[in-house]
Amino acid sequence: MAGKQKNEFVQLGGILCAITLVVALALGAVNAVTVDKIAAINQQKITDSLAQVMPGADSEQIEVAEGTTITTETKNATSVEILSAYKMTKDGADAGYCVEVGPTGFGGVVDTMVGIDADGNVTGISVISASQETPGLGANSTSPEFQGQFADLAGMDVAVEKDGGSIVALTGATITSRCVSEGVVAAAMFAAEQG
Amino acid sequence: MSFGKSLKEGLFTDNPTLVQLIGLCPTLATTTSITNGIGMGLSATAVLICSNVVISLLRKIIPNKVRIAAYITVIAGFVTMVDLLLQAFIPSLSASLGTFIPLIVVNCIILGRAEAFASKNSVGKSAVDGICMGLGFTFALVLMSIVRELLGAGTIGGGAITVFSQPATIMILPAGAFLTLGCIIAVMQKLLKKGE
Repeated sequence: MAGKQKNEFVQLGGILCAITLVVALALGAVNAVTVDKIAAINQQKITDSLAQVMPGADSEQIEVAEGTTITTETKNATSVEILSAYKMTKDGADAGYCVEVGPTGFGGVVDTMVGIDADGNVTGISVISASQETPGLGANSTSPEFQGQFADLAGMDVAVEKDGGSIVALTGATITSRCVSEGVVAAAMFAAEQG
Repeated sequence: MSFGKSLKEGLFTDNPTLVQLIGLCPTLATTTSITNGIGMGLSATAVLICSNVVISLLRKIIPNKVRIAAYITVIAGFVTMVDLLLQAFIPSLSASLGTFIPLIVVNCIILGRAEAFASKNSVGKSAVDGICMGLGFTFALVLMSIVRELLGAGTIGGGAITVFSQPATIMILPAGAFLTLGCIIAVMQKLLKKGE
């Protein structure tokens, strides 16, 4: 009996193993076809957002250790992750920094690119992805009307109207609007640290 | 069983979403715009057809005792492929559907059809079943998303046409999904009773 049972385990395991092996090989093949394309699309998103927040400037990526966070002294005082950062130059002159921040909104991280000039003022922001925010409410943070409000403000002082700032929130709950504002403050703090 | 009869079952009399009431999570969550509804429906249909065919092919090889593990492996494999292909070729759709594409793995329609149909029927029949059930799911999602997008955002076709500018935002929030689904199921039941 014992031998028979053992055989059955080997048989079950073997078949399951064969199926997973075939599936893994197929996945590897699909991944090989798509990996470059996906990387290129993600790179393009970054390039587009850089051009949007600081038009006409050249960017040079600077190293940011993975998991770098900045804690703002704003209403929520959350720590905002710095996803990537770029040193910007325009016609050879220092033009400040572009910082990709990931402040936490209602449903998850709102990936935002923030341009900060050499004086610490915001040149523009671009919400790259707000797909986890509420559709019709927070997800509207990708609209040009909302993003346009941030241009030319002093980066450190950005806040929604409810918190004494000038940003007109998307909704009464202000969760996403406050989160984006905090992201901008964190970006300004990061840029100031870089000097 | 003829294709026409299967199609009628999938779309109406045995519609997976509106009559069997399975696969409701993606139905409620992704139907905020018509583009999302069609994208989700067709992605799930693609996975359903592929998994039905493969599971039907393997039905005599897969031992009964480990069949669920084997089905899930096959389904998860296809879902990951669809996810990668969408990210590479239709990035905008991939961004708006977000985590719901990977979650097709746990869509009960797919495992349900594998267990109830593909594991007992020939490859051809299983493929037809996959197409019809998948189209039924897509049909339900499209119905839901037309109503919700029109009432909740005031637009048709992902903002292509603006019908009115003061929409009832609740319709694209979770509550609106339940309201819409309830009404559509009620209408469906009424029509099916009439048809009997």
